[in-house]
Amino acid sequence: MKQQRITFQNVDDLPNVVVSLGTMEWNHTGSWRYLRPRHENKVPACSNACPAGNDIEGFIRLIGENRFAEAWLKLKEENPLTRTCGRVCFHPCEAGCNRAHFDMPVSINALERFAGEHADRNLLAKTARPASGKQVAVIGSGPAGLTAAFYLARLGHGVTVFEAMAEPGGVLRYGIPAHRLPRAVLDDEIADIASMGVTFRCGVRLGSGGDLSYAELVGYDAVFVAIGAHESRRLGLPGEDAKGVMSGLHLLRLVAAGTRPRLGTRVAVIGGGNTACDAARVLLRLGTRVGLYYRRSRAEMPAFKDEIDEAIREGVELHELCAPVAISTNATGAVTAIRLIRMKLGEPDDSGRRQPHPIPGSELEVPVDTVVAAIGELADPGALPPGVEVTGDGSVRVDDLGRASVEAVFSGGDVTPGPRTVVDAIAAGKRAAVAVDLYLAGAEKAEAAKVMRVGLGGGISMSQYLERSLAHERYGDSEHVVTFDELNTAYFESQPRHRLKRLTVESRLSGFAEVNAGLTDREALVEAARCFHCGVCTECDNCYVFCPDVAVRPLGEGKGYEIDYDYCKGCGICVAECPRASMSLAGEEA
Amino acid sequence: MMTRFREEEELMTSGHLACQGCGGPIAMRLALKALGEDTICVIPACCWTIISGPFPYSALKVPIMHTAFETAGAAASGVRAALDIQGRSHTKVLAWAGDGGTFDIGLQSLSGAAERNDDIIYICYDNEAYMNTGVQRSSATPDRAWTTTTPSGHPKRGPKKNIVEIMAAHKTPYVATASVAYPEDLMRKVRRAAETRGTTFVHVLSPCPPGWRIDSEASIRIARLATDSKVFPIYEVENGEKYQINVKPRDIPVAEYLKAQGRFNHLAAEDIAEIQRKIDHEWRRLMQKAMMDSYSGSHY
Ligand SMILES: Cc1cc2nc3c(=O)[nH]c(=O)nc-3n(C[C@H](O)[C@H](O)[C@H](O)COP(=O)(O)OP(=O)(O)OC[C@H]3O[C@@H](n4cnc5c(N)ncnc54)[C@H](O)[C@@H]3O)c2cc1C
Ligand SMILES: Cc1ncc(C[n+]2csc(CCOP(=O)(O)OP(=O)(O)O)c2C)c(N)n1
Ligand SMILES: [Mg+2]
Repeated sequence: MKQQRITFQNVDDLPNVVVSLGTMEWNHTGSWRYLRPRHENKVPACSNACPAGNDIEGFIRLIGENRFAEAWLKLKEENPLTRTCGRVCFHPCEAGCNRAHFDMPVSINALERFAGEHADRNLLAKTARPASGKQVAVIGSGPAGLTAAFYLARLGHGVTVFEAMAEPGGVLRYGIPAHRLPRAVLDDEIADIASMGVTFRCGVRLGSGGDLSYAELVGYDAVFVAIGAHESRRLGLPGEDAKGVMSGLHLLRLVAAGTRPRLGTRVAVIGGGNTACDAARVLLRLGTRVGLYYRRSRAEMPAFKDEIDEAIREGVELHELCAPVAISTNATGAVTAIRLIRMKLGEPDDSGRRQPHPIPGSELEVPVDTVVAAIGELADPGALPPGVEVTGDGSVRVDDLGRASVEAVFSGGDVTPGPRTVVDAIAAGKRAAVAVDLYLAGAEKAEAAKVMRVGLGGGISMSQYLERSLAHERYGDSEHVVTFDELNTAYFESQPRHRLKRLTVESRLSGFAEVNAGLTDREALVEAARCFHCGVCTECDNCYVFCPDVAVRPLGEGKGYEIDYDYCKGCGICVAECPRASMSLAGEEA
Repeated sequence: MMTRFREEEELMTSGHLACQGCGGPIAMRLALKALGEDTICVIPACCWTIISGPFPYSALKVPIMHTAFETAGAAASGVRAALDIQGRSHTKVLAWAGDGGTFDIGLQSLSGAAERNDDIIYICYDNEAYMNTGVQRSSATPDRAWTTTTPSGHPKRGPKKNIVEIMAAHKTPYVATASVAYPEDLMRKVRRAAETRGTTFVHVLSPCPPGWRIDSEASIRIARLATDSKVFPIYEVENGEKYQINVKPRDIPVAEYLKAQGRFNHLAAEDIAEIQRKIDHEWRRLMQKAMMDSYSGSHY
């Protein structure tokens, strides 16, 4: 019982000297309060920026506590391809990281890779639900298909993945070269997915002219179409069909399958995207000289910046503002040279990038033995289920949960409109798994969509969906994304970001060894300590230590705090001194 | 997270009468956690007389002797002598006084105790005016600040009295500044003071939201700015000789500190520039002292 007021009935009750007989706790100073503080976790900017809605501050916290395998598990909850993403994701989380406004963003991508190095398949929970008895066909085993398969299996559904190629992985296996994503890493992650009970049927192409038609897919309650975009755009130039002209994807696919095509000594790569950059870097490793020709300038290149930088460092000769006009051939129909024209930039087009215009009379001819065209990829219309609506460029039209226009058909990844990245494909696979799950259960989608949402950036959380509750441990029901201004940076010290170590160029070009090195335990701990944990309480005790009214009490490690509103005067110091905006102050109701 | 803070006993209770955001109870709570329950407080007239509550209550779980405005030093010496006669030398005597009771009216009794080197811990929680009676200026009020007796048309003129130098001049064994913005440093210093025999003095900057014209939630931030702008350096002096700076300021212009407080609203750009010059000068002097060799013999 809290201290009561003391009353003296008569003079004899009074002490002989003026001495205190009790504390002041009878005095409920909470009645003075007009602002009410509370602990309220919010959405970190990194998670808000992650299409897959990863619990980034959560896994980094676990690394900081030396709990490396648990950090990996935490990532795996929201992304079955963490070791892959730790290498090839273009990490929008780092662009969102509030620390960028302080010194440099946290090296989240490197930490993700580090966590993956402590993967332990035995820790993976097999399913979250009992078997539903339903069967789902997943067409395509790129990141979208693999992700959907993983979560559908976890949700208790039977899953079969149909893949046209000899091995699963999609672009991860047949596009992205091994020097960026070692095959053993990919194999391991696919094995994780198989361990969930997913069946893979490789070498089976769906669709008209394939090995199996959609009509033959019997016994499946739903289909997820994630066949990517594998038809290379044609250059539309004279000489395009000559011997020695090939698409970037084709080249990468050949090399990935172990073939070493005959290319001559000089190769021109046309394009400025990831495919062009990867093709160029692979060509260097095959021993050719490589010129990369792009019609706009380096700033407009759609490839990830790091890719462009490394390609140039390795020796790719980048020629900006150059567009091909013709391919010259010899009598045997083989490529001898490429004719190009110089371009200049004009007004921005619909995409916001400046339009290139040819400079009359600036043509030039470069002798080459091979031309690799990598100017974009399209979906294969013949490989789609009959009747699905497509957009102008042949992509499958889907709603915000990945439902196509045909009943029981879902789609996502590169075959649908939107950004083409691994993490976007993963997000699409996750969204589709939820959509399929709701469809199979005959459930309403709107409520589930809200439950899954992470912040406002469109990322979704599987753990939130599984718990089916807003009162989950992450950010409560908050949609408030923490901005840099909301942090109290007095509690943070400047600390340089980890510098990625890479192989020397000479040792890179002798083969397909992984270029980027991982973090050591020590480096990971130092980097993890740089995380601000925006919006998420770390029990730093500031609220407790600074409270002038002893009204904030810790509840024990990991349990947070309680505020005693009988005494809290609402000064707001706890909120102001919270380093990470995981407390809020609101007006008292009248 | 501060090590051990959760385990250290809470010797100040809720329900006290300090205004929202007052630095006084923060300082007291930290100091008592550092000292432990075997402590007797001597408090002269000041806000804390009121904060602790009226008879028959007290917000502290250690004894308080309330005493006259000018007597903290002398009364603490007396309590010390009485305890020693009773064989209770282990009990710590904490004189806890405001800036008025320390810099002004109580200076003689503090000086007396320090000169005798009586074994007491004297903590001045400095809110830079006579706050309890309604924000009258004291000799701890900073240059050009507004108070009710130095209204903005006629703000206070002249520097804040340097109490640390006065105490260091007594060759007091341990003198330190501290701030509610740096709890760990404050508690370390109070512990250090308790472990040191003889008179020890800790000067704690303690913002007063109504008196400084700041929002209650800004208390800690303003205290931190005081140190980061070098207005209130955090340092300690051993035996009046050995100076050590404990918090590296973030080098923030004083304008940022002044502009955040209503009591400096009336300052013109020239005032701020002049204040900045003085602060820079004082900071250089302090750095020089921190770099000097100290006298190697003993003063006592
Ligand atoms: C060379 C290259 C490098 C890239 N680098 C990066 C990078 O570093 N980071 C990044 O974030 N993104 C990168 N991207 C983009 C990223 O790889 C894609 O956005 C992503 O792989 C799309 O995943 P998906 O599952 O939709 O399709 P895909 O990965 O394309 O997988 C589709 C799968 O479906 C199979 N398939 C196709 N048709 C059929 C059919 N009819 N029947 C059965 N199976 C079929 C294909 O064989 C393939 O395995 C790169 C892309 C390319 C081409
Ligand atoms: C001899 C004497 N003069 C005046 C007073 C009235 N009085 C009580 S508290 C106080 C101001 C105390 O100021 P300070 O020591 O700075 O403490 P604060 O109230 O600011 O915490 C005054 C003037 C008094 N109690 N005794
Ligand atoms: Mg005062």
